Amino acid sequence: MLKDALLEKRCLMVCGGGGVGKTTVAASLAVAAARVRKRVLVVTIDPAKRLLQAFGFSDALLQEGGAPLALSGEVLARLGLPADAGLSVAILNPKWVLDRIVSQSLGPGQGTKLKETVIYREMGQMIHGLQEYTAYEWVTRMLTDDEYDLIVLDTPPAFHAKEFFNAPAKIRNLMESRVFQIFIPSGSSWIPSLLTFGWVEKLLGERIYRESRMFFETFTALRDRIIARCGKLSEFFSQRDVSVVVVGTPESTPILELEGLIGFLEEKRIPIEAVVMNQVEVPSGFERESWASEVSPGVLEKLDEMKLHQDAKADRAFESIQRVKARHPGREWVEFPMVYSLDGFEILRQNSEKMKN
Amino acid sequence: MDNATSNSIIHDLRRINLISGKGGVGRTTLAAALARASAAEGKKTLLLEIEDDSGWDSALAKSFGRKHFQIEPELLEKNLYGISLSAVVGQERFLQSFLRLKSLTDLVMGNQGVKWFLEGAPAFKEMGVFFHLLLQMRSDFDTLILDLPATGHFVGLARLPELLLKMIPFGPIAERLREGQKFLYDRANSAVWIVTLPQPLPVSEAIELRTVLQNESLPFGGFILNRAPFNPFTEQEEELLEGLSRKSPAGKLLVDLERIRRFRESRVRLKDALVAGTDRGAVWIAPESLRPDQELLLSRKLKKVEC
Repeated sequence: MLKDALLEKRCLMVCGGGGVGKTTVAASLAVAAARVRKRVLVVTIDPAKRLLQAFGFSDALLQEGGAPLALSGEVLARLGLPADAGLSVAILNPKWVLDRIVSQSLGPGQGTKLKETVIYREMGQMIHGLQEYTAYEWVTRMLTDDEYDLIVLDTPPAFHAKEFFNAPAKIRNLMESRVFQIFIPSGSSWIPSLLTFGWVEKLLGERIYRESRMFFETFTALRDRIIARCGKLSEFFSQRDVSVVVVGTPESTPILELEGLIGFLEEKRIPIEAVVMNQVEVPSGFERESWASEVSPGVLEKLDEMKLHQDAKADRAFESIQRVKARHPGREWVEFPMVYSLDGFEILRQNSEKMKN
Repeated sequence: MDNATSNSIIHDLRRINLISGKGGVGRTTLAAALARASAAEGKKTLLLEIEDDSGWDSALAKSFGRKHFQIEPELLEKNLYGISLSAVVGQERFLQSFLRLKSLTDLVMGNQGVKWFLEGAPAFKEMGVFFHLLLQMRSDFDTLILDLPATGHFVGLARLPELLLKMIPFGPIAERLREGQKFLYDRANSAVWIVTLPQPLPVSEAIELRTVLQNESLPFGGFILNRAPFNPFTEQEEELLEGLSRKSPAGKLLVDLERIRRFRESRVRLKDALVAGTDRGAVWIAPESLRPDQELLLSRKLKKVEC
């Protein structure tokens, strides 16, 4: 049960396709957890920094790199939380985490040399899975440090939510691949043939070839550490106190993606705590009787028509949720309504209330 | 030409159209609708998507009764072809054009180490997709419509050459990157279209994205404000109803009236953003449809906002 998870788990990962409202769900979970636990941290990798905005942090604080920020008493009150609740927010900056790993693993001279290569500087954007990898690295460290009872992780926007779980394996494959020897000809590999053709340099140009060599030579020192870490990460989800909350919306494409994700997690035996259906359309609140005396018959007729449309949307959402539920029996489902008129705090407060039951 | 057709978005499309937008805004549906409309005009149209190695069915291909598109243009309907751009295919084709020898290409591409490298190493995946796209841009299609992936920021395909040319300023890769760039930066023949929803956050993101395009000198086609709510009211009626709604015991707008208000605000914000920008472009409104089969007719229902 999600209710129990909020009380007992140490890490909840919020996953789902793009645009389904992962950040809102992660924030709502964290608010709900902060009612029953002392030290709750919600973390995002979203470069749009929506999570901080959702909690009303000003632009000045949005620049922060790593250290978590505690919510003020005023914000806690607006969220319906007691004044002594401990809820913090952090934005994960992959670059910042990576720089720390480099500084810890390499000497200052080598570290600087590595950081100066173009490849390293552009690496965050270019290496697939690196953002995700740094998230694991960071969460693992936070769990070990034991500063928080529960960490809610808002996973990064990706082509597919699945990429988050495949990231450690991808990074590991890259680290173990013989590519390092392509650029380090002294190695005793059978690939040097690629270099002896001389076309790697010709293909890539002299500068990138030189930079790549420097990058790979220096980076080699980091490899072992990263490979060892990735090994541990595959055990990450076998920990009893880590599980996933899957988020979707009742639209046709997102449902396709949601079911794909559920299937994938089941296959990988990654525990799913609950499925959250977000942005569920609700019926129109229009009641003819109470408006009849207020408006002209023409407008009343238009209001009827408007109600028909909204109710049809709500019906359609309801039916598609029923169908998807029937295909996945035994799962816990939580529904968050589509809201247009509430402010951010009110949405989080109402959503988190829903998770009590 | 009658008024209805001259106001159709089809006449605003360029040869190369990149359809962008965050996840869940209906980008894929619109890309399919635009491609169908273009083909119906008698234009030889290619609908492109970027391969997804997750093995899941493609939502775009699904609207044409297929699980996936092929790696070569495949006839879907009259005048309309579909293709899935693939990193590996692009890498292979490029290597082959450079190495000349198929057997050598196979040898290189068949190596597991190289495979892992190309999959995970800096930018090689994007580069492969980019080369595959370049081959299509060189082809004889009248219209190309590319459904861009929903990844958070627009460090997408169009910006890739810029990034890579910093590292690889010379050589055969650079040459092809520049050729691709020429296609994409050509205002007369290319445009990026931004699909968004009538809600505050998506509208902000759409406006930000357009600023990015402008800073990058990438040609902008227009905003497509999708899922406009059903709205039978005149502006005066809207005002009246909002006033009455607020006076009601709950003190809140009806959920449907709130939607209409949000839509109106969104339209105004996008229009203002257009006026503030230096490049031309328009706001197009796409109504929401309750049934999926109606979505295919979407392009005909797109209405231009008068500026």
